[in-house]
Amino acid sequence: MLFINRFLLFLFFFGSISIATANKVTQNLFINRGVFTTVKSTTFPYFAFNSTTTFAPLNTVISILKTDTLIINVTNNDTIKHGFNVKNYAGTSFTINPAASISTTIIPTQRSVFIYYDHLNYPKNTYMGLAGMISVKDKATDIVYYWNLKDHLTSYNQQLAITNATVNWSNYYPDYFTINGKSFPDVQLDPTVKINNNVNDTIYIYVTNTGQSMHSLHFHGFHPKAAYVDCQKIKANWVKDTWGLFSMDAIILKMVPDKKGKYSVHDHNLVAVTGGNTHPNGMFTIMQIN
Amino acid sequence: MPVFGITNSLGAAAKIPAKILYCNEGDSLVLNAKSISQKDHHTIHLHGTDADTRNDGDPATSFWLIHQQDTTYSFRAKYAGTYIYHCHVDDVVHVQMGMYGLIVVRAAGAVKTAWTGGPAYDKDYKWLMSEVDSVWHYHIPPHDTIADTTHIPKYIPNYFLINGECGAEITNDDSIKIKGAQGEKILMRLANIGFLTNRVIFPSWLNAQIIDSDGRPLPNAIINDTCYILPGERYSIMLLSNTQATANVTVDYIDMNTGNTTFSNLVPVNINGMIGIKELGKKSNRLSVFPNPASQSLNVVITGNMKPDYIEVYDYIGKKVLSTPYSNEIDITKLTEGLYILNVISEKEIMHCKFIKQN
Ligand SMILES: [Cu+2]
Ligand SMILES: [Cu+2]
Repeated sequence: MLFINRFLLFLFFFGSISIATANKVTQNLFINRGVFTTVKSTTFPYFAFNSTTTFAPLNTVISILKTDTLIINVTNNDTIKHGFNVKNYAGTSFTINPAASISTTIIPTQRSVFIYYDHLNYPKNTYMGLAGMISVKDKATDIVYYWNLKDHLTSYNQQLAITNATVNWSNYYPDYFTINGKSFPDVQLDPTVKINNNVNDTIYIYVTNTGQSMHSLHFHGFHPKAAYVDCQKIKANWVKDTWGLFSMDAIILKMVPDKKGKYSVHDHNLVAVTGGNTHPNGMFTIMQIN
Repeated sequence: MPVFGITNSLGAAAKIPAKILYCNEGDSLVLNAKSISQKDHHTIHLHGTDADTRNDGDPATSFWLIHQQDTTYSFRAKYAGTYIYHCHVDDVVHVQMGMYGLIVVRAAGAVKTAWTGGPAYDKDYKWLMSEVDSVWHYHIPPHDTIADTTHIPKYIPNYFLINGECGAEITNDDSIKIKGAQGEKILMRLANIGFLTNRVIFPSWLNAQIIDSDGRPLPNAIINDTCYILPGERYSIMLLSNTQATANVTVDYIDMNTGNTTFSNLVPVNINGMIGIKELGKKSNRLSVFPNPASQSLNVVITGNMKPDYIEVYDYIGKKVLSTPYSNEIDITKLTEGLYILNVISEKEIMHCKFIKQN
């Protein structure tokens, strides 16, 4: 009996030590100003958090393990003041002057998903593109996809690129809908969006809605389960084929396909399955289950 | 105004929405579909049924029907609940034109429970919400067959519908307005196939409980008078009035881009009288249990000529916790405290009653 107790004590300390060796992960982000090119090759002004000083129209997806400690360094590479905040994570709110930098630390406890964003002049800076995803995985071998949903209205981007300009949000009618900055069919070329897996694989889809609109993601073929919810807590462990996401919602959906085939996932506000008012573009991807 | 539709017979007038399709949990539903469109291609998508690619009616992954072509679509109804069928070709246009309807999967044996072993109800209402932008109907957005795309106009709906009706049509429709008695359990099957978000608000004295969504029981029933239903979502809500009163249920139609409420339908509710004793005498077979509450064993009493095969016990959210060959006394020591539903199952019939387990 004594021996067993000592053995358990040993296991306990051994477990503690492995947690203490948690990895430190450093992620540099730069606030860049640039131009977004739509699926129809039209362009509009855009901002993004990128990992270098070169603008890309997609915010860096920060991916860590639940045992990691994340240090985010943010540098304002723009000519106006910006902000940084991790939604629903206390003590991460900063204002950053042009050319200045800040640093903040995130210590996750579980598989989870967060939105990081520029909260200044909300929703203006977020709308202009400054909102990305922090994904916290359980294991390095997890099968994970990242879907950042976003809506855009060309004329609002043109207007809001001007410092101190405002728009009337009660007239907002977006004409471009994207997943990770891409519309269908371009989105099919993004391996972090297009699901390509086997029957019985456990697939985690990290979804954020950093747009202004509500989006209603409908899955053909399967009913994913909410493995983690950042905002609509009441929906934990719900099993649904259609997931209603409000602006700035974040959720992890877990799916274990039971059959092979091709299955669409799309916004069931079918007007959002468009780009530049052309259907089908926009928020639409096709999963391949082998 | 011009519409596209799905009808049950050749030559029948297209209506919005199409007829409700019913089946029971465990059934296979087979639809014989034929396109007589003259021009556009069509499919029938079985929204939420998890049909395989062949039966999914999605032209992006499967086939469509050209004029005069026919096929069958089928799926196995594994889960009771509320589903939608709709055309998926040029879906933004064909759905707007009216090619949609509800599928209701009842509990096994058409028992009046939300799902097999789930909460019982006395009557149910089916509300399918949508909108119409009449400009789209009079100037149908044309399909570019070379690019395989459609240029769609701005969506500015001017009719806000429940089961294809609006205004006085709703307040005069006995299949929409809620009529019941105190103590009667009323199941509301709500679905949204429009392009706006619905917010349905029940008077608080109806004690609304959200119990399932998209054909799956919720892990815990949610006590909430307000339910948001985004496009494509379905919810089941159990109403149980402890008073006699009249009021309205508010059905809002919310712009998904601005969050502004574009329109509200008011649906009358009239709870009058108390649920009668006559309900109990309807069946020739009757099931009762004692003691209730019970802690160790439960005695099962059946009057009538039922030949019971086995007993199943479900917890209140519909999880099966016990399954045993029929016996007139069952051991419930392993159940945790709470409300349970006991089903006695024979070849011909399922009877159910509630009991409370106490330690
Ligand atoms: Cu059609
Ligand atoms: Cu659908």
